[in-house]
Amino acid sequence: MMRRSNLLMVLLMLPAMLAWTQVRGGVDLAHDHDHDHDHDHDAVDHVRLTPAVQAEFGIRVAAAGPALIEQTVSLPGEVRPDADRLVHITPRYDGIVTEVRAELGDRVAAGQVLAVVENDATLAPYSLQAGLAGTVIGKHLVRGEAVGRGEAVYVVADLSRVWVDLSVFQRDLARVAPGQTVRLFLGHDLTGPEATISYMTPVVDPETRTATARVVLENANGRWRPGMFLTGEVVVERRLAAVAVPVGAVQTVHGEPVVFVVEADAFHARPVRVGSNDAAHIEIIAGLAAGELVAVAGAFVLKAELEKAAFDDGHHH
Amino acid sequence: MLAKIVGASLANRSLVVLGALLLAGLGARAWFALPVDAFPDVSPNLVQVFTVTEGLAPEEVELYVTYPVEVAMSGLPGVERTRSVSNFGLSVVSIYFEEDVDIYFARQLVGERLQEARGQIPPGFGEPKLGPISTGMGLVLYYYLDDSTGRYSLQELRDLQDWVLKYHLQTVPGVTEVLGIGGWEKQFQVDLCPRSLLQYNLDVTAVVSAIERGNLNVGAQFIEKGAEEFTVRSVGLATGIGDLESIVLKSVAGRPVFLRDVAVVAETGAIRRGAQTRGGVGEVVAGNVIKLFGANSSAVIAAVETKLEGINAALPEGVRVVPYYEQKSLVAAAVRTVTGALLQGVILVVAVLLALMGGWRPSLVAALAIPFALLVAVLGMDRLDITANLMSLGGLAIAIGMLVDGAIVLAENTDRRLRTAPPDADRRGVASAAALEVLRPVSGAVFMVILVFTPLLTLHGVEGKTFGPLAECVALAMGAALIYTVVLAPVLASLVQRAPRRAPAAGQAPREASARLARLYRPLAAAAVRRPWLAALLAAGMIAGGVVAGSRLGSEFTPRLQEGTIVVELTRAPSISLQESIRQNLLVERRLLAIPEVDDVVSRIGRGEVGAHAHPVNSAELLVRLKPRDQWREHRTQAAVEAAIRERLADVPGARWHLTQPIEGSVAELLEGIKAPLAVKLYGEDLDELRRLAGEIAGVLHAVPGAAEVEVDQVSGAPQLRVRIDREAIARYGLNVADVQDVVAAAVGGAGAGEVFEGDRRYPIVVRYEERARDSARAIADIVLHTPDGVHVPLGSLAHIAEVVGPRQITRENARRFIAVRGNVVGRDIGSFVAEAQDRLAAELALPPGYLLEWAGQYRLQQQANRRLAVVIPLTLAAISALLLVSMPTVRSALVIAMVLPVALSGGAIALWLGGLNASVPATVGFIALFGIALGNAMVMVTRMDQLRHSGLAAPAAALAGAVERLRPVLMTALTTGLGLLPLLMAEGTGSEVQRPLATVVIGGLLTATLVTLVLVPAVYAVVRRR
Repeated sequence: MMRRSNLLMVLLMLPAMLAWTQVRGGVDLAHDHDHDHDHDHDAVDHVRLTPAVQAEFGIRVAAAGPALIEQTVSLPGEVRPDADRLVHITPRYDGIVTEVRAELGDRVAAGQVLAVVENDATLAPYSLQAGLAGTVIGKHLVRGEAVGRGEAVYVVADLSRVWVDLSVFQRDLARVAPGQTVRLFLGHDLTGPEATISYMTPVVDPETRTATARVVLENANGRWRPGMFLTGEVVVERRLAAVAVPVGAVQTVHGEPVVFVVEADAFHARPVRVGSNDAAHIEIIAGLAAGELVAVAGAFVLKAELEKAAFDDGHHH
Repeated sequence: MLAKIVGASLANRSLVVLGALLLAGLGARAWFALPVDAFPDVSPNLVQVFTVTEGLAPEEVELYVTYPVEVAMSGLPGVERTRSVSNFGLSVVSIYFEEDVDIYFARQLVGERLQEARGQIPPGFGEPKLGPISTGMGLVLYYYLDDSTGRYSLQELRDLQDWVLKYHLQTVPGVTEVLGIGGWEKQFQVDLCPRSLLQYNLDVTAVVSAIERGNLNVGAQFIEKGAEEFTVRSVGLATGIGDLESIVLKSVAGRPVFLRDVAVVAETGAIRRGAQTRGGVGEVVAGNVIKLFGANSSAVIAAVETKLEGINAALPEGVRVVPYYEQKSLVAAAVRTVTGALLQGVILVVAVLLALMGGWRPSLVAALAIPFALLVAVLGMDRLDITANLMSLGGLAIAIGMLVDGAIVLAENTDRRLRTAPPDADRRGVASAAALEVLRPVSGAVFMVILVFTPLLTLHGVEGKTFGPLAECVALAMGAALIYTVVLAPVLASLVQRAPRRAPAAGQAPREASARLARLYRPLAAAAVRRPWLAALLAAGMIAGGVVAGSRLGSEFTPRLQEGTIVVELTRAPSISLQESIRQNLLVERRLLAIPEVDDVVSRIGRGEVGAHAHPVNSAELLVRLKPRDQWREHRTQAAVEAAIRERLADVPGARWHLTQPIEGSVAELLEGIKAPLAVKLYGEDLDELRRLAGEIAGVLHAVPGAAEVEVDQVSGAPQLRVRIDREAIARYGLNVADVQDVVAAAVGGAGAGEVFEGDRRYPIVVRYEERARDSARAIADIVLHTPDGVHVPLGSLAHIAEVVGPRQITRENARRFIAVRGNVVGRDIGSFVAEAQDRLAAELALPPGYLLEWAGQYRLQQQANRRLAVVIPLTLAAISALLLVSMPTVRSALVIAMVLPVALSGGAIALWLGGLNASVPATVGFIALFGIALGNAMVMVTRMDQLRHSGLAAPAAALAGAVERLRPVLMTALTTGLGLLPLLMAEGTGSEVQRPLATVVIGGLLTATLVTLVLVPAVYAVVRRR
């Protein structure tokens, strides 16, 4: 009897084991059948794409070569009258204004009478004359007003030439110097001419902590009005780099700048040392020779392809 | 006890029938109320907390948002684990609860604790919100807005989505949320010109507060005028750009400085972290409808569609809502597949009954078991909250053939008894006697089926949730069948069945047919009884065949359910910009559209409104809509189309991708972290150290034989422009850190300055520097700050600005940072691999204090499942043996019956092999089902042999007579079970791939088991009982 029930158990266990191994087998080998990535773990340094794919994804190739690279500094500035062409007109004697002949904005000739004042002491009238030919930009008197000695009642400026005073912040002092080219922007898409820094203050203003770089502008048509606020873009460096590429050609791979050089039908990620750059170009100091073909557009696609193995987010395994 | 039940029910026939009708009626009512889904929902039980923190980098998101939220959640009851991802501008904390925690209770707990967390998050760093009350299957409908006129901008379309569609659709019952993505959200952007600010000596913060003060309404109580009251209301809300531009910022010598003097105000798109593209053409605006947890998918979808029709009529001319993914079609397809199988099963079973039972009366008694059991099972589903879906209805389909078995045997026995009984005998008495004769083995057999399906209920996780409903439904239907067989069938037999009026010879075809079968079978059985070794040889041959076939089977986890829609999940370089991502994505879409079977491709890039997706902009999800199947020319199966997609995508540069399906994908996302077959999690503090150690771990794993696809989580690679404030410099200028940061945040990132109201719609006002003043490191360095002394100083003098590579995301589990190394094992057993890898790691890796390793991945779940099965399967077998021993009078008889099992299992394995199928979880379920099904017939047969032997026949004679006598019920039950499953075997539709292995195993096993029952059982019985 005992023997038989043992046999029964064996008989019963046999299929159980069979079924169980199925379950185990099923579970053990469970893995994502949709694992479509190629798993390239070796450090690859090149990418090969067919011309069709290159065209599709907008990858373009051009030779590296010399390019002009500019370094600029943007500075806030203000238009001021040329201090050498500005006169203050002050009464010689205290008196009463009897006649006003010039108004704000009037153009006046040198020696032209601007106003007549009656001397308080002698009751004799005397005239106030423009000290130089220019525009009346300040007027602080009306008829009947008592004006005093030493009080500037008119300001006349010759605005055919104005100054643009740019504020140079401490961090830019070392780079901004007289003789540099400046492009002036008025905002609202108004652009001024290129001009040159003619002078820099030797001291820094204790109030604003800025120095002043001065640009002298010809202003025959009166377009530059004193008081205007503008931005000056100072070209602090402009030179011809022997080897340069468009900015987009340089990509960062493993924290190092590289360019993708065409060699033997493939794009090779070549580490380079980069110099200065502007909006368009970046200088390559080492690692690339002029004339070598590099990817100038779509280089990001190449970088992405190169780093493909590493950037999967790991969500889906 | 059985005798008592039968006696009682026969005594109260009308009561029994009424009760049955009532139960069936309730079942029918439940059927119409039953929620219908495509598949069982396998999403984990979790609550997600989303916090949008505009513009913050992952480190700050973790520090200021994720950490407080996580801490607040610690110690909640029923929490399994918490997991968080801190991404750029978004924190997602997932709190996984144990399976049996009610989701609303869980949400309430989380909501309460969130109040605490809110206090810990600095103001302005985002408001944590609970995710939608939904699951991975909640995304029931995706749509996009089609503008055939081309007159509407993406911003206007998004406006329609956010303020018209969203609000209308959210009122549909069962919709919990509608999330918009794509296009541009409208906002009023104030683009400041830094030069003008300097000119008027203003800074960003002054502008922001001026705008806030220049845009409001107030109430001022009322005045009395005569007998009336007039409410006084001061209206100062800006209604548009004009009003905003006229806001006065300050006044210099009586001359006001207006906002327009320093800024350009425009309606523009807000900053976005996602987009939607379509058809390789361009961007569209889209929306996702999310179903409420537990709502009836089909009802919700139908209601949404009705609503959409109404909305379409109300949209501007030429603009239309186009649904591009509807779960409805999937639900319909899945339900169609399984209900089709169910119906065909019923028809086949009834046909078998009519053909073999001989007369409609016994057939009716047997067949009525089907509606009764199904309706009662549905009632049970309703009570247990099981939705109608592919698996649960599949369970019913599987049960169809088995649930009539008991009733067949009973009706057949009653029929046989009635023929031999005297014409004037009391039918009630005959029915009672006939029932008692077979009820014991029959109820034992039915009970055994229920018993073998119970271990499936202990399965856990995805496979548990998938196959649990199937097992539950089989058990429910079989339970109902048991009630029917014991209580109802004797009553119905006594009411319906009567002795045939004509003699058997009068030419009833079916009776003739089974009689002829019996004549054919008798010599065969006799031969087997005479030469038992021949029968044994046959059985041995079958077992050998089974072992061979079994060893050749491939293996897979679960066959993939084909949803009929393909999703390409595509990941690009972590540093990619949204614009570039869109550009490349359109190119990929065009490639996919070149496949003739592809109807359309709609892609989501990054994330839209937070709630369903939290992807960064380097991730895209391309939903590939396929044409209707009858238009497929070149590729005729989904697998072929998938192969074509793989081919087309093979050389897409700079992107990694894999194929999934809408539901599969979103469920996987929620299960995130345990999907990898094998993962090593390294917990620790320092991100760089974690990365370094993870690299070492990957190296060690790589060297272990069998390692495949070892990968370290990519947590780095997001370029940052780091503005590190120079404390000495700001001290010189009398500034503090916040002064500088406020300006940087506002100038570069933008600062909110109230809202503009347009009716219900409200749009944010955002103040920001004009683009060229913030679009490069140099421009940012030029941002001018105003010091308390009135000095102007550029940011470059106060901070070091550098481009660095920062973390892309920071993942944490149970409130600790971790990094995972994932991998797979090929060509070797995972257990031994892990053991070896653990040894090597212990030897080669020196973990600094505070760093901790943990093994995870599916491997752990597998181990758990295996351990559970290792206990449960022997237990089940023990229970079966016990049941056998209880229902059989002797051990020897039980032994004869148990002999059928190995043959049945072999038959299943052979059938799998012939069908070209793999061993899988559903196949295993089939094998388990075989335990129960295969034995029933043998039990019935052996019981009869025992009865005959006790009445005085010798063993060989009893064996022969019992076998011949029970031929008809044995054949019938085998045929009904087999034919009931046949439609599942033949089905081609959605979801059929999951049930085919199961049906194959059972049918194959049943074939061999029946053969063995008919041949081997009499032979062995004769041998065993000879002495």
